[in-house]
Amino acid sequence: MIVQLKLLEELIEIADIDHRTLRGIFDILGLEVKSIETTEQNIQFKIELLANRGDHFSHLGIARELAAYLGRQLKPLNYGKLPEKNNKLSIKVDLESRLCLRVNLLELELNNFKLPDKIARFLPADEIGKRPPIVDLLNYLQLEIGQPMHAFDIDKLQGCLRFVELEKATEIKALDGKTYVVPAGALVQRDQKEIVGIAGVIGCANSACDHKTTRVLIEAALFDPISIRKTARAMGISTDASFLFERGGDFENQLLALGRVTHEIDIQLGKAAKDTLSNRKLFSYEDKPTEKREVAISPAYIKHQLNLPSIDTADLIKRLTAIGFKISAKETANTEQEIIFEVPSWRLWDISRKQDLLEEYTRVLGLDKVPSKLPPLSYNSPPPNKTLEIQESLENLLVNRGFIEVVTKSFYSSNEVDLLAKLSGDSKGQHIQITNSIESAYSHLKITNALHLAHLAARNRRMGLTSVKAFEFCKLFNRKFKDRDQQFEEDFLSIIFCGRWHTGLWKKPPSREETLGAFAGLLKDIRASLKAKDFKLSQAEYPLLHPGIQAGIDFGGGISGYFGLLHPKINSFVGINEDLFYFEGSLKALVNSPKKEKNLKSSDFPAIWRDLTLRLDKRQFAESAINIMREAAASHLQEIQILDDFTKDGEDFRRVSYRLFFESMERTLENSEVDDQISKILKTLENKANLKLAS
Amino acid sequence: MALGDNFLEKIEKEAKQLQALTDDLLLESRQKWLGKDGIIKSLFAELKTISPEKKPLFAARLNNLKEFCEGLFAASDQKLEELKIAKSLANEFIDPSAGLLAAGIGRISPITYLERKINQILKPFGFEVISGPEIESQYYCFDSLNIPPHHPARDMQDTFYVEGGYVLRTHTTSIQARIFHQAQQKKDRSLPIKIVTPGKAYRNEKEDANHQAMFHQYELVWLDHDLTLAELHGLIEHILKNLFGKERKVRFVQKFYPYTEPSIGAQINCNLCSGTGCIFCDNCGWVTVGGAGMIHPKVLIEFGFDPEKVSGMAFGLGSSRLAAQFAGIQKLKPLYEGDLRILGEV
Repeated sequence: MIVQLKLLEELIEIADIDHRTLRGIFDILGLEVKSIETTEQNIQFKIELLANRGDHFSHLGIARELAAYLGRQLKPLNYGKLPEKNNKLSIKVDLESRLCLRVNLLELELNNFKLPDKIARFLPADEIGKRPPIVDLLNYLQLEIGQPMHAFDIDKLQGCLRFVELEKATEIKALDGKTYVVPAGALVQRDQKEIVGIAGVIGCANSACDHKTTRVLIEAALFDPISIRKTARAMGISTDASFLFERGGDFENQLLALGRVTHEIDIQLGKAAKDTLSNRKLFSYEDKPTEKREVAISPAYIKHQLNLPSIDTADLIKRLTAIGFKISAKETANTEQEIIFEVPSWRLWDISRKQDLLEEYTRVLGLDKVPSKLPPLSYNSPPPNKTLEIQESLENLLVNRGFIEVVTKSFYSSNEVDLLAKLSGDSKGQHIQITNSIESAYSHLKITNALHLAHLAARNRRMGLTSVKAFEFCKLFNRKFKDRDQQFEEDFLSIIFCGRWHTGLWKKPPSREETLGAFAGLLKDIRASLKAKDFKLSQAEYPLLHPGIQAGIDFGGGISGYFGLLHPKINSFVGINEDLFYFEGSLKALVNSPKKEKNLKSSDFPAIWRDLTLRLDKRQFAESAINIMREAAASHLQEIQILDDFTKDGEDFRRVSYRLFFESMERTLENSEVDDQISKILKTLENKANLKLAS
Repeated sequence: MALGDNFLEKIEKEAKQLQALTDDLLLESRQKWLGKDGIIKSLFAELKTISPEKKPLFAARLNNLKEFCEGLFAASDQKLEELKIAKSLANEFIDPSAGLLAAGIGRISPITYLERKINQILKPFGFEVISGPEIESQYYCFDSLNIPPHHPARDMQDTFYVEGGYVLRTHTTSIQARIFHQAQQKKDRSLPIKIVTPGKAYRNEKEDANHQAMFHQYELVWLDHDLTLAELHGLIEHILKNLFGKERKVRFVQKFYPYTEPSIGAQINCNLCSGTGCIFCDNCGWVTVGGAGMIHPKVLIEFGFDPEKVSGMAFGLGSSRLAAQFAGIQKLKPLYEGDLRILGEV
C-alpha cells in the first residue's frame, strides 16, 4: 500500500515528526516500509501490510495506529446526510446469496459534480480526468477510510440488480478493458440481461459510469472474504477492493462511507445539490446485526507477560480506545482485576481472546518497551541426535581433507529428468513432479544429486579453480522411498571431486587411477570415522556412473551407496571435459552401520606375512579376492593389503599382489601353520572364484 | 720387515709426517695405514717376534701409534664429511614457493555453521534437535497451524504442490505440528517440549538475488507452563547477541503469523551499512532475521493442550539471511550457487 504523508496529515497531526522517525514507528507497528519516495508536494511510503489486517488498508487505519502509539487524537471527518432507508430505488434489488454480509446502495444524481482539487491532489496526476469524477471520488474515499465502493450507471442497468452466485463459469469484460473468466460459484451482480459486476472484485464495462453519466447507484458493501479470495484468484486479478475484502472489511463502515460521499458531493455542488436531494434513495441490508463481542483481559496478565514493573490501567484503556476498542458496559468494578473491552467492528475478524488484546496493547505500547527476561536454563540434557552427530563427524572429516560444503536446490527441470530417465533406461516413474511451479527449472524434485554437483563442478572449473572438492547433505526424493518409509524422501551424503587432489598446477596431475584410489581412500576414512565394522566395495551397475569405473559400497548393511566416475553423458550435459568423481550414499545407512568392536589389545608376538600374486580378470575387483580370503582364513589373519596391480605386455589379465599379515595374541605362529592357512586360502580362491596364483 | 727400535722409530716419524698431508691425500693413505693389510695391523702381527722383556714397551708404542693414526684419520673424515655437506648445500636448490601442493582445508557452509552455533547457544536450555520431512501433508503444514484453506496467510507463502495433495513445506513449523501430534497420539502431555528444527523450506516464487524458492529456516519451539512474551524476547536477544556480538542492536516489530499470538519479528541492525541504510536492508538500517510469537491458543487446542494451563513460544530464524549477514555476503544467491571461491573463504 502507498501511504501518502499529506493525506495522513489530514487525519492526524504528525507534521512535527520527520519521515525517518515515522518510518521507524511504522516498522514497529508492523507496517513494514519497503521504500520511500519523496517529491516536492508529498512523501510516499510503500508499505507491506500484515496479512490479517484489512483495516490497515486505508489512511484512517494507519492513522489509528499512530494515534494509539503516539497518544494523539484523530482529526474528525465530516459526513453528509443520507436519505431514509426506504429501500425503494428506481430499480429492483434482489439479494439471493448469503455471501452478502452488508449491501448499501445509494441512488443519486450527479448534477455536474466535479472532483474537488483538495481530493484530486491525492490521486495520480496522469489519471485525473480519465475517469468520471464520481469514480475518482470513490477511489479516494477507499484510500481515506478503507471502504471499497462501486458506482453503477443506473441508466445502463436493465430492470433490476441481483446479487447471485454464478452457476457456471462465464466470460465478462471488466472496467479495466480486459476480459476475464469468472468462475462458477462467484458472487456477481447482474441485471435482467447480463452480469454487471463481480462483487468485491471489479465492475463490468457494460454498467460503468462515464463522463455522460448523470444518475449513479453507489454500492458500499461487505462480502464474504473467502468467496472474494477464491473468485479473485480464479480470475487472476487483485484489485484494491478484493485485497481489502479478502482480509475482512469493517461491518459498520458502509453508511459512514456513503455519508462521506454525500458530504464531498454536497460541498462541491453547493446550492445545486439541494435540488437533487429529493431524488436520493437508499437501500440498506445487513445479514445480521453486528456482533457486540467482548473480550476480557487483566492488567496482571499483561504485567506478567510483558515483565513490566506495573501496568498503568488508564494508559492501557487510552491506547486500546485509540484503536477503536470500547470499555464494555459490563465493566467490572475493579479494573485492576479485569477489564472488558468491546471489539471494534473492523476487528471482529481477528480479535476474540485475551492473547489478541495482549498483542494489540503490546504493539501500540511499542515492543521496545517490553523488558527482556531470560527463561530458565535446563538441567536435563536432551536425548542425543545420532544422525546429527554422525553428520558433524563426517563434516569434520571432509573439511579436513579440503572439501567444501555446498547447498544446491532440491529441484530439477524436465530436461534433467529426461537425461536421467535415458541413462537409467527407466521411465520417469520414480520422479516426483511439482504441479504448480512458476519456475520451469523446478518441475521435479531431485532423485539424485549427481547433476547438481556436476553442474557445480563444471561452473567452478570454468571460473578457474584447479580443484573442485565439494560435498552436500541433502534429501533426495523418490517415489520408491514411500514404500519403505512412508516418506518420499531420504537423507543422502554426496561428494564430488574433479581437478587436482592437491591444489596447484605444478607438474603433471595424478593419474585417473591415483585419483580414484584417493577418492576410495576417502570413503575408507569415512568408515573409520563412523567406526563401522565393514567396508566392502563390490561391482555395481549404477546407471549414472561410468559402467567400468564404479563400485557399490557396503558399510555393513548391504549396498547403500555408489562411487566412481560420473557417466560421460553427464559430463556432456553439464559441459565439462574431465573426470568427475562422485559418491552418493544413504545417510541412514551410514548412521545405522554395524559398529566395529573395540579391540585395544596388541600382540606381543611378531607378525608373519606372505605375499601372493593372483590372476584377476581385467574387470574383476581386487577387493573381491580380499573378501574370499577373509572368509577362508582363520582368525590369525589380521590384515590384507594390496601391494601392486599390473598387467604385463600381451597379457589379457591383471596381476594383483596381496600381502597377508598373520598374528596371534598368545604365541609366535609357526611358519608351517601360516603356510597351511595360505594353502587353504588358495584353494578357496580357486573353488569360489576361479582365482589362481599368477605364474 | 723386522720390528726393531730403528724401524719403529722410522714408522713413527712417517706417521708424524701424515699431519702435513691434505685431507684428500690423507684419505688415500687411510688404507695403507689402517686397512686390513695396513702398516698398523702388520706391526701388531710382528709383536710375536719381539722378546718378552721388550714386548710391553713395543706394544705400548704401537698402541700409541695406532691411536695417533686413528685420531688423525677420524678428524680428516669429519672434515671431508663437512666438505661434502657444504658442497651439496651449495649446489642443491629447490624453490618451495613453486611447488605448493596443499590438500586444502574445506569449509562447512555458512548455513550449517550458523545452525551448529545456535545449537550450541541453546544447549544450556535443553533443546532437542529434530528434523522432519520436506514433502509434507497440508494438515501439518497449514491446517493444524491455524491456516485454513483460502486463508490470506497462504499469500505469504505461495506453495509448491506435489502429487497426492502434498506440499513442499513452506516452513519448518510443520515439524512442530508433527511433534505435538505425536504427543497427542501417545497421550503424552508431559512438559516441557523443547525442540529446534533446522531445515529447508520452500516458496513458489520468482527468484532474485534475495529471494530463493528454497531457503533455510531454524525454528525453536518451547511448550511449558507459564511462558511469557518477555521470556521470548529474552531468548531471542540471547541468541542474536551470542551470534553477532553484544554490540549489535536487536529490536522487535509487530508481525502476523497465524500460528502465533502475539506475533513479533526480530530485527538486528544491518552490519553491511552499520544501520545507515543499504540495498540489503531496504534502506531502513535493520534486517529482519526471524519471526516469533507465543503459540496460538487455537494451535494448542488443536493438539489437545489447554491454553489456560499451557503456553508456548516459537521462534523461526531465516537462517539463510542470517548466514549471509554472518558471512558478510550481500545477497542470498551465492549461498545456493556453490561458488567455491566464496564458500571457501567465508
